[in-house]
Amino acid sequence: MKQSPIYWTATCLLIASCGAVNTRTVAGPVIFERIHLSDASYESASVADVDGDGYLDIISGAYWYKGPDFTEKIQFQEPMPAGEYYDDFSNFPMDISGNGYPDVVTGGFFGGPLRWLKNPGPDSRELWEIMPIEQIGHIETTRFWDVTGDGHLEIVPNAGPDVYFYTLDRDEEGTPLGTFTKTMVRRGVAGHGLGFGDINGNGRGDLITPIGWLEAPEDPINGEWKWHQEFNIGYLASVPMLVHDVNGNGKSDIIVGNGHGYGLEWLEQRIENGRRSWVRHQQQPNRSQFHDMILADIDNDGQLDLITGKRYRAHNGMDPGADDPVFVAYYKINGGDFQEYLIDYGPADRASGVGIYFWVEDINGNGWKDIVAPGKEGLYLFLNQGPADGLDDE
Amino acid sequence: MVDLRNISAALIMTMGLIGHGWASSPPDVEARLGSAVERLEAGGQWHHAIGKLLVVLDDADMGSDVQIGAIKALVEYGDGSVVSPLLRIAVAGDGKVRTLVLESLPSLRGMDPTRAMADGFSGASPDIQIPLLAIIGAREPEVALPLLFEALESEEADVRNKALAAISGRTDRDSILSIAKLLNDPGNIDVDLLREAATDLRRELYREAAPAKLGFAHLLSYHLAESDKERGEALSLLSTNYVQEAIPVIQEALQNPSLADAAVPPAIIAGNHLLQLGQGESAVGFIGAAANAAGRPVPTGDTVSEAMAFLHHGWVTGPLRADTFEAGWEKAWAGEPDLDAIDPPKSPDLGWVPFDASASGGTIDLIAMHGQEDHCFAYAFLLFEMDEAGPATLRIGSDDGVIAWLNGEKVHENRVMRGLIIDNDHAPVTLKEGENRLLLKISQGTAGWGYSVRLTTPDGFPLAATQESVK
Repeated sequence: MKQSPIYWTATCLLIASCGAVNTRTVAGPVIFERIHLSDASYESASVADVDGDGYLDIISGAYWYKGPDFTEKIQFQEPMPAGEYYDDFSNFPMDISGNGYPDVVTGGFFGGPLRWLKNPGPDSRELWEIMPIEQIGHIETTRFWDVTGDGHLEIVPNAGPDVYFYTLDRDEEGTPLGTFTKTMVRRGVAGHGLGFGDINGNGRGDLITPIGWLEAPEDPINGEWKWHQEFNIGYLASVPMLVHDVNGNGKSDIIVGNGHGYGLEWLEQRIENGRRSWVRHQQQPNRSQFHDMILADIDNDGQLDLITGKRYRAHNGMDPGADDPVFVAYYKINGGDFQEYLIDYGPADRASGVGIYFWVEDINGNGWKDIVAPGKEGLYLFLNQGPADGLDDE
Repeated sequence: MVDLRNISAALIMTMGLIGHGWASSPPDVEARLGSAVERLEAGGQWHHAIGKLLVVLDDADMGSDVQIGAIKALVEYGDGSVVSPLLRIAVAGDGKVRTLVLESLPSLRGMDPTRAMADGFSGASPDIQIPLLAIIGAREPEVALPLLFEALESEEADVRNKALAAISGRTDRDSILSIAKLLNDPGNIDVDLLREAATDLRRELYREAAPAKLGFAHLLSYHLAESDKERGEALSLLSTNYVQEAIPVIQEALQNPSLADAAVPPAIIAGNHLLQLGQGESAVGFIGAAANAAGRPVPTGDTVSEAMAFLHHGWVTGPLRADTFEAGWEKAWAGEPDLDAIDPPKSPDLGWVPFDASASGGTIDLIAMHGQEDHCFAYAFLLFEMDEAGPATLRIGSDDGVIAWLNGEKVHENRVMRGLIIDNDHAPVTLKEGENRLLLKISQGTAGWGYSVRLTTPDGFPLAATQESVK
C-alpha cells in the first residue's frame, strides 16, 4: 500500500529540503462531520425518500429516520433478533408495490425469508406489511444489480451454494406488479462472497463468486451462463466483490475484502496467449472484516474510490482481528497501489465501522457524497465536508 | 482558533494534561494540537487530524508539554502509522520522552500497530528493542513469533533473554513448540534461563488447565526431564492429555527400551487419532509399533480399515420419517430392541439393502445410498463373529446422531447434530463368543449422513471380528 501523506509530511518536516511540503499542499483528503444517530445495533442501512416529502431519509433496521435532520425515527418493521444479530442483512429501497414510495428489501441468515416490506405511504405509522419473496434461508446479505441489463435492478441474494436472482415482474408500461420471477444461474458454485460486473468487456454484467465467474449470455434469463472457475479466494469474501479496472489497462479486475479476517486485495485480470489468469495484490493485510465495500467518487476528483470499513463483531468476536479498532476508510485506487484514508478509527464505543450493508450518497445536497454507517457499534452518519484545505484553523 | 483548554475535561484527563502550563511551545502549535484533538474527539476526520498531530509532534519543542500532549493523543487515537514517528521521537528525545513513548505504545491495539512496531524493531537499539519485545511478545502470534525468534538470535544477551521471557509468557502452540525445540537444542541461549522460562510456561499451562494446555505442559515436562523415570511419568500423563504435537517424542520413546512401556498408552492414542485425521497408513504403523512394544498382536489386513477392525458388512434401510424429527428417535421401526426379530433377508418390508464398506475405508455414506434426505433416520444391521467373549470398545462415528443396540441391549445413545469423524463416540461393551448382532439407528438433520463402526480392545488396540459379505 502506498505510504500515506501523513508519513510523508511528518518525515519531510525534519528535512530542510522538503520544507515546501506540508499538509496544506497535499491534495485532497476529505473530512466528515460525524453524527451518531443511534445506539441501535442493526447492521444494515440505506437512504431514500421514504415519505415522499422531498428529503432523503435514512433506513436502518427497525426504523427509518426522517430527513433532513434525522432526529425523528419511525419504526416500520420488527427484525427478528438472533443473538447479537438481526435477521436483516440488507435494507434496500425499491418501489415494488408500484405506489411510488420505496419499499424495503431485506433478508437474513437466521431463518426469515427473503422479503420486502410494503411502504404504506407517508400518512401511516403502522408496521409495514411483510411480503415474502422466497424462504431461501442463510442469506449472508443481498445485492441489487441490473443483471438483465434492462435498466431495472434484480435482487441477488448471497445464500447457499447456488447463484440465482429475482426479477421484479412489471406490466407493459413497466409498472411494478409486486411479484418476482426467479432465475437459477448455476448450482453449486456460490460461497461467501458475490460480485457483479463486466469481466470480459462484452458489455454484459457477469456474476462473480469466490471461485470463479459466470459469463452472462445475451439473454441472462433464458440463456446459459458460462462458468469460468479461474480463481479461489480462499477466505470468506466480501459482499460485494467489486469489478473495476483497477490498473487502468482496459481489463476489469476484482477488488475483494476478507469479510471475516484480515486483508483487502485486488485480483488483476491478465490475458496471455488467449488464456485469462488472475494475479493477486494484497493492499491492506492489517485490517479485518471488510464485509461490505462501495465504489464511489468520495473526493470529487473524477475517479472512483473504494469506501469500506470494518463489520464490527462480524462473527460475534470470533474472527481474526475482532478486537482491533473499528474503522471507516476510503482508499484512492491509485492504479492498484491503494492509498488509505481513515475517516473514523478507534474502539467501538467511540468510533464506527460500516456493518454488513452501508450506503454512500449525497444526503444533504452539498455536492459531496456522505456515508451512512450502521453496525453493532451503532448507526452513524458521516457528512462529507469536502477537503480540509482552507479551513479556518489550517 | 481552538483553545486546548476548552476541550472536554474527560479528554484532558485522558491525556493527562491538567496542571501543565503550555508554556514551552509557540501558541500556534498549542492551537494546532487542540484543534487536532478536538477533531479526533468529534470523529470523521481521523486522517486529517492525525496528520496535524504528527506535525505538532515535530514542531513542538522536544520534551515540552505540547509535545507530550501530542504523544498522548497519538497513542490514544492513532493506528500503526503513528508508531514510526513516535519511535523516532523516542530515539531523539530525552529520558522522559522516551519513557513516555515506550510506556504508551501498548495503548495502540490491533494488528496494524503491532506490525508497525515489529517493522521498527530490527533497526532499533537494544534499549528500544527490549520494551518493544515486551509489547509485541504478547501480541498476535503471526507477528510476535517471528520477531521473538529473530530476537533469540540477537548478539545482545539482554535482548535474547527478554525474547525468551516473552515466549515463556505465551501459551499458544507455536510458542510452546519453540521452547520445546530450544530445550533440545539451546544454541547460544542461556540454558538456566531457558529451563526457567520453560518451567514458567509449564506452570502457566497447568494454571490454564484446558486439556490441550495440560498436554503441552506434559510435553514440556518430557523435554525438561533429566531422567527416564521423569520422562516415563511425562509419557503417562500424555496418555491422559494427549496432544498431536507429542508424536515425535512418543515415537522416540517407543524405540527406547527403558521408555517403551510408558510410551505404549500414548502411542495407542496417537495411532487412533491419526486414523481420525485420515492418516490411515501412519495410524496402522503407530498402532503396530505400540503392539510390538506391548507384546500384543500386530494388526494386519489388506487395507487400513481391515487392520483397524472396521465392520464392513451389513444391511441398511431408510430414509424413515416420523411425524416429527424428535418423535423419530422414539419410533421402533426395526422392532428394536428385539434383535432376534431382525433378519434383513427375510424382512423385505423395511427394504434392507446389503452393503460392503471395504472400498470406502469403513465408512458408510447414507446420502450415496438414499439420496439427499433431511430430518429422517436410517438403520444399519451388522452380524459379526468373535473367537472369544470379552470386554471391548465399540467406536462409532456418526452424522448425525446415533443409537446402538448390541445383542438386544442398548449400549450407546447420542442425539446430536454433527459431522462424521471416525470414532466420534466410544461405548464399552461385552462381546459374546460366536455371533454378535449390532443394530445402529442413525439420524439425519441436514447435509451429510453416514456412519462408521469398529471394535477395539478396552485399551485401544484393534479387535478383529469375522464378518461374511452379504452382498
